[in-house]
Amino acid sequence: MRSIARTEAGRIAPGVGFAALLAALCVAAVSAAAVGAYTVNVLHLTDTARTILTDVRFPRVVLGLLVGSALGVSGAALQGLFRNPLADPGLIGVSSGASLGAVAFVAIAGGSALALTAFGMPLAALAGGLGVTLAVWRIARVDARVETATLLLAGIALNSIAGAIIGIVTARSDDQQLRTLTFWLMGSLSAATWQLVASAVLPIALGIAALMPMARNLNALALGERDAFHLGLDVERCKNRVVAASALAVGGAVCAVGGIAFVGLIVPHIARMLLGPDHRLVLPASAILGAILLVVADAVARVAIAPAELPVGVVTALVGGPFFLWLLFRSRREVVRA
Amino acid sequence: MLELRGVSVVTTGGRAILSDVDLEIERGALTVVLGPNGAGKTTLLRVMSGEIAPTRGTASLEGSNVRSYGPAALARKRCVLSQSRSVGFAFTAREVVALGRYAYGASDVEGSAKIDEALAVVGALDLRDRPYHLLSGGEAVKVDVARVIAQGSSIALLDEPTNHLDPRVQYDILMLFHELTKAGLTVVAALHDLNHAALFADQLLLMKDGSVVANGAPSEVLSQEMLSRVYDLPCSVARTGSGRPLVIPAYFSSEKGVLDAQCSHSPPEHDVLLVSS
Repeated sequence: MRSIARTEAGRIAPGVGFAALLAALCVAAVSAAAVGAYTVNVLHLTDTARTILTDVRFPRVVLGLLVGSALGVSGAALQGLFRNPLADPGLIGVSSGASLGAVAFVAIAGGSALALTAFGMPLAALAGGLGVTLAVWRIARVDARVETATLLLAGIALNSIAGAIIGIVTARSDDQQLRTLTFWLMGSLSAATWQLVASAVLPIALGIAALMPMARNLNALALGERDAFHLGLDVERCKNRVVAASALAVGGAVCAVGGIAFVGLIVPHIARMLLGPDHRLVLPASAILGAILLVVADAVARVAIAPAELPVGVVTALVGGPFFLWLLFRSRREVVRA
Repeated sequence: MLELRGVSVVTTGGRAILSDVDLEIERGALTVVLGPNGAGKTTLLRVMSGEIAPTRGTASLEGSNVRSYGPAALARKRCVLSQSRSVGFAFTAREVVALGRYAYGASDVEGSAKIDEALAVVGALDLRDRPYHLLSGGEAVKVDVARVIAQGSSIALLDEPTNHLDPRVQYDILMLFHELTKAGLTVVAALHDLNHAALFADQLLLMKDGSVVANGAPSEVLSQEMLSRVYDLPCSVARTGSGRPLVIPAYFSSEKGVLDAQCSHSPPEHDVLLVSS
């Protein structure tokens, strides 16, 4: 007899799946706010504890939710667009572009008054991310059509150019700049303030809002661009919108917290394993799963070596790498042995 | 219905793929496009489907330029079975067929019924919950055909639909489209099997080097001279009892079963078989 929670294709029924995901999201958010270097007793809230919660932990959890969902949804949308489960938001150049913008800002505006404002570096990062994505997109554009293969290859080329420039800038940085840069390049939520949340929320919300209605289009693209056109999809418009919206969401995420590895790559896999490949389920599920993963990873980053802190990118990479290997071995079981 | 006037397709490198093609596709008929590899069959179908704009000339569908329709409007008028097909991610067979309803939007009330109907027509109802990527070639093509039927258009463009299939599945697919034409569907299919063409075509287009060299009923087009000229293949053409042509390549009637000694440009002398049915 088959369980009511599972459909015939071995997937979890959508209603059950989303209820579980939302419950897990609440648990993750509340526990992440509860843990940290300072022990908070909810029954006897001191003024210090109250300040730590409202000014440090809450903005940090909210930022984690925002950034995690941005990375999850963009990863799912780009994997759908490229029909490639190895696609990552970084592929279209947005992450390295944002890093380049941030690094350039730190190097140029280093000790100046501008660097002290919370908006300076995020804005430089957002500009860098969108600028490099635009360059990748322009390179791949031939006669009003964007060549998807060229888009990938141009992304790889510009990523490595950006990486090289970042390397040059970091080599010339002083110790203080280097510390800021390293933490930022590995990705960290430690700078979270309500101000930073405010600067990230607009691009992330706009990006996610533009990606969600693309679910049916991404399903059609599963047949490849030619057959998607035969089904009635305006392929070029869909591509432009997915690239632009992903760049906006990921740009908003990276500008606030730096580059965070693996969330955008593994979250869509988990979503598809649970609910199947329909993007109408995968996109929202990836948003929730991305938020859960990042908030939990950040909690781990805060307590693992307390009172010091790990960059959250280290935690996600530590979880993501082995998970990806597991996926690799799992998919191998399906084949007939040679 | 579907009409091509002076259609030429030239690549950016200046290579002509189609040269001045004029033709009219009969409504409710099964039109077969024959021709050697590289003759321009796929490009012809791509022009008909609105996927590429001809360099010169126009393709018109129900009186309007094919390229003047938006993608969704076009998809409700014509469906396409591409030569190579694949599905990214582990969609089930029914989900793949459901993609055929894309052009009808998110609130497609009759969609679900059309999907099951299409699965039933191809005899693939039992495959509905199987992951598409684990299907055999014959099962997958049935699902692809169901997807195309679910699209609900009045013209089907099929690019070598029998590729890589066993003889029974090839026959089933062609028979299915033959029956659908009786119900009013217009079908244009690029094929390689000359005898399938002879058996199923109402109208036959023979192409070579980007031009249509013959256009008519199979019995008119499939002559020994024409096939030798187009395919550079010596063969005999017999007639079945009902008058259908039956093409027999020369290697069947040559003693050693080899072509090497055969003159490749003028057809060799062969006995013409008389087959009764």
